[in-house]
Amino acid sequence: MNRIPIIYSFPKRLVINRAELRRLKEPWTFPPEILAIAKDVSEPDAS
Amino acid sequence: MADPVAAGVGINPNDPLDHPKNMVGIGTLVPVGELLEMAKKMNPRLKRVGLPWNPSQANSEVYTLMARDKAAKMGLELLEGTVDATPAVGEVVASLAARGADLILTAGDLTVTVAMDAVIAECRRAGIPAFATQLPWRPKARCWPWAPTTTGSGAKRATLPRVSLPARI
Repeated sequence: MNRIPIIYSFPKRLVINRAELRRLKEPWTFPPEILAIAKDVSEPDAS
Repeated sequence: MADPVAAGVGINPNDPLDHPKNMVGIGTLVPVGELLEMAKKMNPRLKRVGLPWNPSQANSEVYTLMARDKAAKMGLELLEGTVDATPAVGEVVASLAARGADLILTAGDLTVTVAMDAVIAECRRAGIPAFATQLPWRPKARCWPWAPTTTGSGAKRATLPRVSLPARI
């Protein structure tokens, strides 16, 4: 029986929204290592 | 599906190629623990994690067990809120926030996922971030080919890091 190869390792995708940080009551920040790999979906005019 | 073995679809846990002949698909168990570690880096004062979940979902139970284990190892308190239907999600998230959750974690629970707008709304109201392990709502379809549903532009409004595993079949 032919077997289909199985990929056990899937690429991760990290999405953040930096514009929302200002809304939080605690001091949340994005460390450089997260910013380096994340996709920021903030909109320039996000309020 | 997050965990085909837990879902009981007939797959052999010791050999993923041993499964019913009419079955195709992928396992997409995402790293809940990594997300909690990331949250701790983002806020070293993190103490309490709110987790809304539906106990009737096998995959959600797997994620919850993972979250319990990781939270215990990290010294975090896991506040769980059970939901039995999507309309209750917002209320449960509000309750978790009122109990002192520093963030809300959604981990692959379909009942919660389809109510992500309510999760985000309650998080905003409470001033806490939402962390998700998947992208049910997406900024652009091309980015998330596997996303089952979309509920608008939530990704633009959510304050969250999310880990997504694009489908590969």
